[in-house]
Parts: sequence; structure tokens; C-alpha cells
Amino acid sequence: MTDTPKTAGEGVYLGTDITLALAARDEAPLHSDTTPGKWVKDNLFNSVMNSIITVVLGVAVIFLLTRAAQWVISEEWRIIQVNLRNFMVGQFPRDELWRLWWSAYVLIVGIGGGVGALAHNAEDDAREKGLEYKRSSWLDLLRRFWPVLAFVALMTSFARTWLPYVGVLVALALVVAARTAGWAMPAPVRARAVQFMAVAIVVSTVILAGTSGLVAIVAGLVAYFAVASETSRRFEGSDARSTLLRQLAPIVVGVAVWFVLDAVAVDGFGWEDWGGLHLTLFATVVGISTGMPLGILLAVGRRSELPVIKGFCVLFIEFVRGVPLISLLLFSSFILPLLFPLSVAVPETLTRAMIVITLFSAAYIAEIVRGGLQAVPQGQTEAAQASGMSAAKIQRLIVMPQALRAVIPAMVGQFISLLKDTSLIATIGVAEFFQYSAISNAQPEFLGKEKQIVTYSIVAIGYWAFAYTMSKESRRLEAQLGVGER
Amino acid sequence: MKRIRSASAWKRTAGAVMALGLIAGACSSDDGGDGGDAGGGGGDSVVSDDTTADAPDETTADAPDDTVEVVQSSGGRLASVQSADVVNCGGNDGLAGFGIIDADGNFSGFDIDFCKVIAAAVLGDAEKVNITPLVAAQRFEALKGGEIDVLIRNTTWTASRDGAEKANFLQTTFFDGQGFMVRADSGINTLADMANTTVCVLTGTTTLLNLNAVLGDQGIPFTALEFEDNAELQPAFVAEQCEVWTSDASQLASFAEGLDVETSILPDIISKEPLGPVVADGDTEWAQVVNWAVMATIQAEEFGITSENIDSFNDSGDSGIRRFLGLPIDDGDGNEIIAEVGLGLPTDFASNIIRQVGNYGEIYERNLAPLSLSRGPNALWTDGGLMYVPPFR
Repeated sequence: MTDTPKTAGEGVYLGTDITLALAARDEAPLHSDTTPGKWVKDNLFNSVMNSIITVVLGVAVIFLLTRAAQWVISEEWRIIQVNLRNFMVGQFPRDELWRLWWSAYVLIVGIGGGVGALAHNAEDDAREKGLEYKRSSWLDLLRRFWPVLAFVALMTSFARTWLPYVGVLVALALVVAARTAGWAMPAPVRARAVQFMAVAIVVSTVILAGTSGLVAIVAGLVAYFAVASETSRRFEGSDARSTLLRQLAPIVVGVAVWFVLDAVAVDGFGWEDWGGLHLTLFATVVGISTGMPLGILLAVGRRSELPVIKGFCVLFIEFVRGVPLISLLLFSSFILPLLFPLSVAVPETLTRAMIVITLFSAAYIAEIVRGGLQAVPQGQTEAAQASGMSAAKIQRLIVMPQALRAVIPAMVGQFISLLKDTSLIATIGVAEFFQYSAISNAQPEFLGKEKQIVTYSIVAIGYWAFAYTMSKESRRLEAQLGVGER
Repeated sequence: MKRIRSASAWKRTAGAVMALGLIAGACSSDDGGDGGDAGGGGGDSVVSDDTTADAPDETTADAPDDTVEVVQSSGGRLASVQSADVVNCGGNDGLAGFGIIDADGNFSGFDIDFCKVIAAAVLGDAEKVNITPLVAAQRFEALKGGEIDVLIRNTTWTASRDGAEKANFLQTTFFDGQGFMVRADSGINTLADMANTTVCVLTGTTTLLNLNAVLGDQGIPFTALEFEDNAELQPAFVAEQCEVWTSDASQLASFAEGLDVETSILPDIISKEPLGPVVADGDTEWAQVVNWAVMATIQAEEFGITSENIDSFNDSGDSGIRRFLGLPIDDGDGNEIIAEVGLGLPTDFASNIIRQVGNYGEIYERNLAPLSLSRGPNALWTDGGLMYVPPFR
């Protein structure tokens, strides 16, 4: 709004007025040079009504803050101190906690190093194309992840031994070291950042969960893709030897890794021994990372012209979306075991719950993605068809990137509700983060002491820290991709 | 035109599948309602029992029996436990004193100790247990599905559970009952004093049904204030929104300990809630093993054998004690033999139980005494309680 009064019949287009206003806004300095006193007077006490509102709200805020501070100081926090490990990792065996620390370290080195390398790659790429690239500083990282860091600091402050402090400090140091090292790697090494991250994730899982069953297979798959990308880089020729190497080597290495890991049989603790915040985050990551590809497939399938595929996708999506998650979880817990033949071992309760969570998030993601697909103009597809692209390529290179970009806010909204929805697995007897609030309050030491407010506050802060970080990251991604500006 | 028809066919199919889904949802919520939580009052809701009982009549009468037989013929639970070298128990992870995850992340409690008793008896090692935390609605499904070998989760023994739920209840380990707690200065001393009061009670459990039945029969007018669980109920009681708090006596006693206000528990107990281990129907061998392992703890207390003094009984002259502990006895012909009762348990199973877990009194002291639960009906029969077991010979 401009201050210049508009007079009718001046002969100026209304449009020009807006344009002028926008131009004025663009030219206005971001930080005006008013003094704090003037700012307060201009913004808080510029009329009688505003002065009254300011005073009333100010008193209310001060009162609430004082009460909150009083409560924090006077409250007995022992229930969190005693149950700190329960809240963080549930029933994970206490003399095996080193597995969690080390798997976290490996993960940090892998992801941190990979991210550093990828950032450097992006900068090189931008420079090559003559584009502007804004290098992110450590302060940026702090600005991005402060809710999680603050939560970690808060939880660490409840520790009664020095070990968690050391562990957290080492982890922070590793973040810095890994990202710096990743950035400093020579270009050929940086080109393999994704493979490095994948291998680190597998190693971290092996440290934690051993090589039983699924882990060895996943490790084999990761090895397959890593070697495949390596050989396709090295042996580009179309001669018989190169082709053979390209096609055979990944399979041989992948199968070898699978068999070796399976044979070595490193022991560990599978997810039936996990709990607390660790399990909550893991279930969320699994729900997102497996639900998203599945959701994209379902969205594409729903737009398919083949009636069977379309029908299946519509049925699946509408069925899953039409039923509350809790009833699906109860179904997985009560009905599903009865449907298994006796000779087949029924999977763990948690495994069944994970499958349900994945399918549930896939159905929601599918509808979000479909919304994005509809936003992509038909002309894009037609233009791509005209230039002779295959249907798969059109989806992968033209339609999907635009569709996914358009739905980032909705997608992240779904991820955030998934994070909170994982608390429902408590209803089938899996003790995750939220459930430990009830469990710790039922312990003989705290029974009837009404410490729910303490535990629920901590749990709420925990969920908030991760949800808010996700939301911040999504806005950052939107800004980077220019969503809403075109 | 054709295309429109095919689309509506798809819609019909989708409608049918969604209807199926709704039915499935309804069934699972029936299971959810079924059984309530014995810790918070136990007992089945009558409605859901009727559903389970009616279902077979509507379909073929044979079908459910067949299913059960298939599940049961897996039998040989004792052998499978021995080969797995672990006892799988279904337990509670959030009931103080009975089954809870403690600060170290371990299960502890009265029920959990009885799971250890079974492991000590069958496998000789009390630590070879695997506790699966179950919510109330899951427990019989887990038992029927064979996921757990034995259910020890503050579960009330009732006829419909023995029957319709295909469960097999064994020796009661804890006799509970619904009681009433009031503020010490409330002036309420008997049920009759409760006229025109507000009673805080858990919703959806037999506690409410019992309350309505008993006070209704006696013509005592009252208002019920319903809550989901005792943790939510407690602040209302403290804030004097209700004068009376009714729940299982064990629950009342354990909550009373943490309250800032002085309370008293009325002597009137209006329901029977016998809690004990449960196994699936159809495997008598396993049921007997579990039963005698549990009863050994009670017999040990009766003999006065504790984990502390058990070694002093090695030279005992009492043939009953010698037989019980698996020590050599005289067979009457001057030969030293070790009695074998043929239960499929090692001869020294009682000795293992007492050494590794303790006798009934010790288990009670360890888990329930901190909640200030007095022995009451759970005292030995020799002390005027209900704990009475058959002879070990």
C-alpha cells in the first residue's frame, strides 16, 4: 500500500499504480536507518489503540514467559534424566550402545563428506555454465539446523555421565571434518560422492544391525549399482571386452558382496530391538524413502490409459486413503498374522507396521504427485513427443521434475505428518519416542507423581525440532528451485 | 457409452473393496474393544463376546474349529521352546509392578519374573526370555497365532476367555479385585456412604460395568466421571472433581503411594480379578510345564526355601523338600534315587527357579511391595490367603 492518496479521474491506469508501488518496495532499503526508539514509536505506539494492544500483549507475554521460566526452574526433571536412554534409543541393549554411536559416526562421515563433495560439484558446474552460485557457510548450516542441534543439546544436558557429551562433540567435529574433507577431495573422487554415501549408509547399518537377511541383500544391491556406475565410466567402448566388463562386473561384485556378508554373518541388533526417538526417525526415513518412489509410480499409474494398471492404482490409493492409519496398523497386527500359512514365519510386528506405514505414505504421496502432474501443461509433453523422446524419457526428464518441483510444500507437509503419525505404532505395542512418555510415568518411581507435563513437553520439543527443520529445509529448497517465482 | 459403463464397473468394484475394508476395520476395532485391560479393570465387554460367539453360527460351524485344530496341532510347544532355547512371553510394558520397561531399558515386574520362572524351569536359565510387549487387544491374537509361548500380562481369568478366546488359564499368581479409594478426610467408609457422590472410573472396561451393577443393585445413586486411563484420572481425583476413585485394588494402592493427599482404600472389593499365566488351548504338556513351574514358587515359599537359604536345604531330612528340590531320596529299598515326576521338566527345575528368580514371596516383595501392596488374598493358605498348590510328588 502506498501513502500517496489516489484520486479518481487522474487518468492513470490502476496497473501502473501497482507497478510503481512494487518498484518503490524494491528500491526501499532492507534495513532502514531508524533508531530503535523511533521504530518502537512508529510500529508499536503509533495510535492509542495500538498502544493499548501493545501494552496488554506485552504484559501477557511477560507473564507467560515468567511462569514458564518458573516452571522450568522449579520442576523436577529426574524422570527425563533417568529415562534419557529410553527416550533416545528405547530398549537397545545398554552394553551395545557403542553400535549406535559408531553407526551414527559412519553415517555422519558418509553423508557429511558426500554433501561437501556434492556442494563443490554444484559450484564447479555453476561456474562452468557461467551461473551464480552462493556458497553456504557454516553459519548457514547453523541457521538451517538449529532446531535439531538445540534439541540434541537439550537432551544431552539431561545426561548423568560424560559419555554422551563426548559422543555429541565427536559427532559435531565429524560433521565439520567430513564436510571439509568432502569439499577438498579432487574432482574424480567427488564424482563418486553418491556411491560413497550409499556405501557409508550400508556400513552404518551393518554396524548397527549386523548382516542378517535384508541387510546383506541391500549391501549387494548397493555394490551392484556402485560398480555399475564405475564400470560404465571406465569402459565406455563398444568392443566385446568392454561390454562384457560393463555388464558382468557389477553382477559378480554385487553377488559376491551379498554372499560374503551373508557368510561372515556379522551380528547386530535388528529393528525389533530398537525404540525411542531412534525408531521414530528410522520409521519416518523408511516411510519417506520407500513411500516416495512407490507414490510416484502410483501417481503415474493412475494417469495410465491401461485400465488394469489405472484401476489397481485408483483402488489402492482410494482404499488406503479412505482408512485411518491406525486401523491399517491394527489390521497388520491382528489380521495379517492369521493370513500367513503356518509354514511361513510371520514377520515381526514392527516389520508389518513399517510395510503399512510405507504403503500409507505412498498413497498420500501419489495424490500429491498427481496434483503436480496435472499442473504441468500438456504442451510440454507434446513438445517433447514432437522432438522424438520416448514416453519414459518424457516422464523422467520433462514432466516429473516440473511436477515434483510444484508440489514440494505439500510433499513436505506429508513427510511432517508421517513423522508424527509414526507415534501410532505405539498402539500395537511398539515402544517409540511418544510411548516412552507413558512408560516412564508408569514406572514405580514416578507413578502418580504427575510428571506427564515434563515428559510430554520433551516429546513435543523433539517432534517440533525435526518437523520444523523439515519445513525450513523445504522452504530453502523451494527458494533454490524458484518455486512460486515463475 | 461403452466406456462409461466400464468406468462404472470399476467404481462398483472399488466400492465393494472399500466396503470390505470397512468390515475389516470394524472387525479389528471389535478386537480392540474385546478384553479391555485387566490392569485397568480387566474383563470382556459383553457385546464383543457375543459377536465372536455368533460369528461361527452364521457361517459354517466347522470352520473355526478346524482353524483352531491346525494351530493347536503345531503342538509340542515344550520341544519347540527347548530347541529355540528361549521362552517367548507376551507382557505389559507400562504397568508399574507387573510389567514395565525400567530406566535401563529392561522389562521388570511381577509378571516378567514369572516369565523368568518358566525359563529357569524349562531351560535352566532365567535370562533366556524374550518379552513381546502387547497391548490389551493384541494378547489373545498373539497367543493364538503362536507368536508367544505364554501370556503373562495382568490378564483376568474369565469363562469367555477360557472358552471363546481359546485360551488356557493356569495357576493364578495375583488375586486382584475392584476397590474404591477416597480421601482420608472424606468421611466415606462404606459403599453406602457413597450415595450422591461422583465416582471417577475408567471407560470401556468391566470396572464401569461392575460399578453400575453393584451400586445400582444396592440402590446407591452416584455420578460416574469416565477417563481413558488411570494416569488421566489421577489429576481429576486430586483436583476433587470426584470423591471416589474406583479401579483394581492393586492399581489404587500403587497410585496412592505417589499422591500428595492422604487417601484410604475402602474394605469393599466388588469384583474378582484373578491374574495369571495363559497358554493357548490344546497343548496340555506345555500347559502343565508352565503351571508347575509357577506353582513351584508358591510351594517354595510354603517350605520356607528362598534364593538366599536354598543351599542349607541340601542336607534336609524332609523327603518332601528333597523330592521338590530334585535331591536324591531313599526309595524305600535303601537306594538313592532322584524323583522324576514325568512333566518333561528337569528334575532340579524347582531348585533352578528358586536360585535364579526366588520363591513367590520374594517375587512379590521385589515387585509389588514397593507399590505398598499388602499380601491380602495373595498370602499363603497357611497364613489365611488363597495361595494353595497341589503337592509336588
